[in-house]
This record gives sequence, structure tokens and C-alpha cells, in this order.
Amino acid sequence: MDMHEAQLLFINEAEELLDVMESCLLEVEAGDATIDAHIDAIFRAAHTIKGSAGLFGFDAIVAFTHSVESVLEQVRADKLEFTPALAELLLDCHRHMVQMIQSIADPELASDKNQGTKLLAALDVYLHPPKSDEPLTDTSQAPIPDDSGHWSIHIDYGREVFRDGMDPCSQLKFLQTLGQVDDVRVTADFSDGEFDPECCYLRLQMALISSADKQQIEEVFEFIQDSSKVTISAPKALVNKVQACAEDDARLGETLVNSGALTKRELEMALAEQRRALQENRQAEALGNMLIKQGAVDKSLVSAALSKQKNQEHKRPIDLQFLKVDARKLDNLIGLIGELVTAGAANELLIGQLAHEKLQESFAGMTLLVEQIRDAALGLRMVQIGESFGRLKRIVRDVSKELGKDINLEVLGAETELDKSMVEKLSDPLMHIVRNAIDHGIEPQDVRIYKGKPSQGQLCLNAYHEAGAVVIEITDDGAGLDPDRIRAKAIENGILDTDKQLSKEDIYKLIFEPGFSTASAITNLSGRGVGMDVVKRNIEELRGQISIASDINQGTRFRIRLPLTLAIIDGFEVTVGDAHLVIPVNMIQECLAFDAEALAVERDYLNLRGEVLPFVRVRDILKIPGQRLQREHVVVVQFGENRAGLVVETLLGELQAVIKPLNKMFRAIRGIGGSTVMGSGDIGFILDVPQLIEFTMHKESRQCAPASDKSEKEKHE
Amino acid sequence: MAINLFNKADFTVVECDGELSIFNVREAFLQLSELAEQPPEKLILDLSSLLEFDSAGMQLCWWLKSRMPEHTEFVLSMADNDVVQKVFALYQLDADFQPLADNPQEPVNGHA
Repeated sequence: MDMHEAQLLFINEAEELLDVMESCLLEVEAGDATIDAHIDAIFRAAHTIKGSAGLFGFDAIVAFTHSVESVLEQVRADKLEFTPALAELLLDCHRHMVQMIQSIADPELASDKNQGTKLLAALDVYLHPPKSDEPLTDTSQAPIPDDSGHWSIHIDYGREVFRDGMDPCSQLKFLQTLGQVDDVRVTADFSDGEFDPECCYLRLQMALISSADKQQIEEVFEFIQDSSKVTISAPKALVNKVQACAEDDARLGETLVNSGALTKRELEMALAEQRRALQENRQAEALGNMLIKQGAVDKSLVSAALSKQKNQEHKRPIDLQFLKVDARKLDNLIGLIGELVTAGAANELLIGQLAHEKLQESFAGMTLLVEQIRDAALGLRMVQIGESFGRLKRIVRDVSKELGKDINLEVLGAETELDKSMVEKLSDPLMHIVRNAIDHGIEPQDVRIYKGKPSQGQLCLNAYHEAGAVVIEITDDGAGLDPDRIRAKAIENGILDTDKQLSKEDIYKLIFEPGFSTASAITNLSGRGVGMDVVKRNIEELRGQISIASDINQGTRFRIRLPLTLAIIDGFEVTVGDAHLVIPVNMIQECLAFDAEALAVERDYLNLRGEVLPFVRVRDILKIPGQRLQREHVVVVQFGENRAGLVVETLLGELQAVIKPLNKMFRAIRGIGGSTVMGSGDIGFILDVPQLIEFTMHKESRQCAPASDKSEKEKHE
Repeated sequence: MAINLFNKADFTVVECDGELSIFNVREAFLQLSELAEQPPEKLILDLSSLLEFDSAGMQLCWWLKSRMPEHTEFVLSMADNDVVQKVFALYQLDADFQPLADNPQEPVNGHA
């Protein structure tokens, strides 16, 4: 390894450590974690950067990081209180360290020395406080440790309890065997209609001082669980036990069960509810929130478990978390697997011709393995989108502070995986959209209050999988897009003709036109009309789509839909004329015979079991020469909420398609996402279904538009 | 089980013998309903002779007390009956169906 490679390794490692440092500081600042949970990780990041920088002789980095490390050491030793002001200072120091590291790779990006001096002076105030009788740490403000060691039990007995042969007395007696039962409060509610002496009207509340875990306590009430409502709240003191129980790889539920704060039944109930939500296509709530809502655990216990979990993540040595592999080696491997898939398809064709059963069986087994290798290799490139979202947290914090706005950022689905190269290319578009949302979308606090909205604006980033694609939504509760204003601005900028009528959705799309901006004031963040066109272009380059939904004064939602991978897909081969076409399997719902004569009118939709299904004649839309065959098929495809039929001629079956990007010359062709080499050696074209449908819709709307509009459109084309 | 209703001086006495539990609360309730309809001025509920007593029995006694108007003098007597005292002790209730924690001076055995 030469010095240059070693330096690159240092830069990579330092950037990763700075990411950890930033995310920890942001979490502590936002109150999502305690400084105790993260101080070790923050300190270790600074300490390691300082040590490694020393090896390479980067003295400026060593000197600066030394001061940061010294302050962190004071916090770690409880000699210095971690105040919001200190958090702010450390985040500024973090930014300066990032600049210093970046300037190693690119000397043009030299860090601001004045800023460095100012930060060092600010750090020095913490290291050498002015002599005073007042200690820096205000012990009177320190939280008093909560050592209440009792379980709190509430039982709302069901009416049938006595008739079922249960007596609350037996439960009280049993609880006494587990510990000391204190402060029993029994109430009886006789107000509910006519009194029935065989019905139970009792409610019980008590404290139990016991070393038993929740599972043992819950077992006491096992036989009344179905008829009564039993709530067992863990003692606050269990927080320490939860933290002690959190093992390296333990999940939240496991940690809480292992520490005795949660029972397996309660965990199962919450997980079942999560599964139900997913099956019903509802947004599944985070497990911690669900357990709190069910009354199974207290918020402090969930926070303790989560904070311990995150702490453990940072504590794990970096070389055990990841194995670094040269990206070129990975690309090479995926390229080879692509070739293997193509060669396999050619062999399959030959074996099919031989009609040798044993050979076919053996080959089918190998094909299955190749598919698994393909998926595993593609999985190597997948990273969690949270990496991108993490950077946005800092942007939201800094930008909202700069603009004096109070904005709460909610991140959902950070664990959703996407191809590494996509995550990298998504960074800039996401940043643009988020900056725009903060700058133009979410109103200043006084305006929000005037409009009757909460003063704190909400910004939500949500990522999830949907039918073989990843969807990323950026939603704000701001002013929304004003279609009239966009239209007026588009006319003013010469983007739109005065007499042209557009739907609301099409008006929103105008903001993606180059040079478009409705912002009345240009700030240094946004409003220059540069960006949204780049956003759209970047997303389209990833074979994705972006759409906008908005309501005035309610907010705006940007929805980005991206394919899962850029390399190899499961496809379905069809032909139209001489052209071999491949449709992504995950978009196909079914295939039907197409009966053109049965269509009542000469319009492109058919009746699919009582539902209207618009269809696209692929031969016409792609202008494939030749005569239509007598027998055609419809492939019903779905993407997002849209469904359509593609009329093709022959159905050839499934295949693995290695996507080869189209030459630049052909990229203007709408509806084709790439090409692939078929087993026979023919070239197949991979259909970009959403683009194809969108293109058809535009074509259709042009045909239906009034004559004057049509000629205008033609002029533009 | 037997519930004997009789008057002693100016008190109406309800004397429970044997058992007052889920197995006979309905029967006892029918007898006590009359008292609930026409509450006496002074009532003694005597549980000192009970041999079986459970939560359903305790609940019936509580219900009877709840049906007595404010001016009725209600006295629950359990004397040193171990069976009854244990139930009240488990619920940490005094003889007025008040939590013992609120009135620690009150003996569990009530108005003996």
C-alpha cells in the first residue's frame, strides 16, 4: 500500500467517524438520546481522528481535534455539563473538522483558518473557565435519580370473572408470594345499571415491590387476561436493568423481554399489530411507540433500550461492522455474474433443444443457484437509505436555524435498502427538495400562528418498498403550491402559452422546467430557479419518476419512485414483430388473450372483469413496422396505484435480464429503459413501463385536446 | 347459608351464617334487596359467624352499604372472624370499605 492509498483510507475512516460524531451530537441535541449514551462514541471518533492524523503529520488536524477531545473528556468525566451551547459549538467544530479532512483530498477546499481560531478560543473557555466560586456544573439542576422500585398494577376486572370461578383474592395472595404488596386500592362501580351479585364490579390498583420480572407477574393474571384489562407498569429503576441487558445485536423487543420489562405475549401482540398494518397496506408504527400505546411499557424504558442499542452500534469496532471492498472489484463481480446469467440463458436454449430430461433437471438446479448468487451479489451493493437521510438531519437543523423557523423532522423507513450508486445520486435531489420545503414551503412561525397552524413546522421523510420499487416521500405541512401563481409565473417566463389549459398535476410539473422559480425573494438557499430541473433530470437518470401532490395551506408531498436495482432484473420476454421486449416481472399482474373484435368502440380500453383497463398497443407506440398478428395478448401491469394493459404479440416466458444502458443516441426513445442480450444472442429491449404509460397518456391527451391547443403543442415539439 | 334478619333494640341486624360466596350471593342478594329498598335507620351487618367468604361476598356487603342513605348508621361486624378478616386484609380495606392506607389507625376487624 503506497502513501496515497493509506491517505485515502484515513480520509474514508475519518469521514465515517465524523458521520458517527454528527449523528450522535444531533440525537443528543434533539433530546432523542442522553449524552451519557453517546459520549463514548463521540469521544472515540475525535480521539481516533487525532491519532490517525498524527501518523500522517497533519498537525493542524491534530491540534484542533486535541482541543475538541479535551472538552469531550471533561464531559465524559462529568466535570462539564453538556449544554445546548456546547452541543452547538461541537457541531460547528465537527463541520470544521469535515472541511479540514476534505482539504487533504482537495487542497482547493482549504478550511477557514479564522473560523478554526474562533472555535479554538470558544473551546478554551470550557477548558479554562474564568475563576469563580460558581462551578461549571450546576448540581442543583442535576436530575434526581428515580429509584422507585415498585411495579404498578391496575386491574379492571371483567364482569364474568366471578362466574368463571376466579377470585381476585387468590391473585392478591399469589402476588404476596412474589414480594410485598402495598397501597392496595379497590373500588367498586355499582352505577352501571342493575346490580347482579354474580358479576364483578371491582377495580384494583396496587404497588408490588418484587424482584420478579413482568412475565412472572403477568402469569398471576393468566386466567383473567381474556376477560379483564390488566396493566402492569415496570418500575422506573428497571431502566438500568434494560440498559444492562441490551446486548450487541439484540432488538428492542428482545431487550425489553430479557430485562423483564415486557412479556412475550405483549411483544407478540405488538408484532401482530405491525404485521396486520403491513398486510392492510397501512403505515406500521414503530414497535416502541406501539408498546407505549398498548400500555405495555413506559416511554423511559423504550428510550433506555433504544439508546443502549445505538450506543452499542457505535461501540462495535468499525472493522466488525463492515468489510471494506474496492468498489471496482464489486462492479467486476456483478459484471461477471451478468455474463454468467447471459451464458446460462444461451445454455438453457440449447438444453431445451436436446430434450434430455436429466440434463434439464440438473441445469434447472444450477439456474436456481445462479439466481441466488445474483441476488446475493446485488445485495452487496444495497445500503440503507438512512445514510442519506442522516445528512439531511443536519441540513434541516442548520437551515431552519438560519431562517429562524422551528421545524421538526420525522424520518420513517430509514432502514429501506437501495443500490449504493442510487443513494449517492439521490443525495443532491433530496437536499434540494428539503431546502426548498424549509425555505419556501414551511411558513415562518408568526405566519403559521396567524393561519391557525402549530408554530412548529413538520417535515417528514419516508421511504418504503412498493411493487419492486423504492418510494421516497418528502412531505411538509407548509403553504403548499399555488397552481395559479405557478401558471402565471410560467406564462411570464415564456414557459407556457396564455391560452393553454393544464391540469393541476401538469401545472405542478412546471416547477421542473429549467429557470422556473416563483420565490419572490432569492435567498442563498433557494429561489434561484436552479435545482428543480436538475432534481428531475437526476431522478430520471436513475430510471425513476417524481410526482407532486399539494394543497394550499395544507402542505406539499414530493414522491420519488425508483427501481430497486440498476443491474439485473427478473423479466418476462414478449415479442412484437421482430422486436424482443422484456417487461419487469414484479410489475406484471396477469396475461390475457386480446380480442380486438370484442371491443365496443375504437378506444384504447377494455373491460377487465367489470373494471376499466386502459391499454397501450406497443407496436403503435414504439412504431414497430409490420402487420398486426391475428392473435395478440394483453400483459396487465401495475405500478403504484396505476394499472394498464400492454398489447403484445407473443409471450415467451420469464428470463433474467442483465440491464445494459442504452447508448446516449437512443436515450430520447420514450418507454425503453435499457437493453439486454438474450440467450439466443438477440438484443432485447427492457420496457420502462411507467415512462411508457406516461408517454401514452400524454399522446392520448394531445389527441383529445382542442385543435388550437394541438397545433401549439406540435409547434413546441 | 342462612341470613337472619331481626331487630335488636333500635338496630336492624343482618346475621350471616355459614357461607357468603359466589355460590350463594344471588340468594343472599334477594333477601338483602328488601333492605336496600327500605333502608332502616340503623343496620348491623354481622359477618362474625361466616365460615366461607370470598370477593363476591365482600362485594355484596359493599353494595348493601352503598345502597344505604347517608343518615343510616351502618355497622359491619366481623369480630375476630379469621376468614372475613383475611379477605378485608388482602384488599387493605377497613370495615367502612375505606383503604387502610388512608386511615392506618382503623383496625381491620372493624366494629367488633
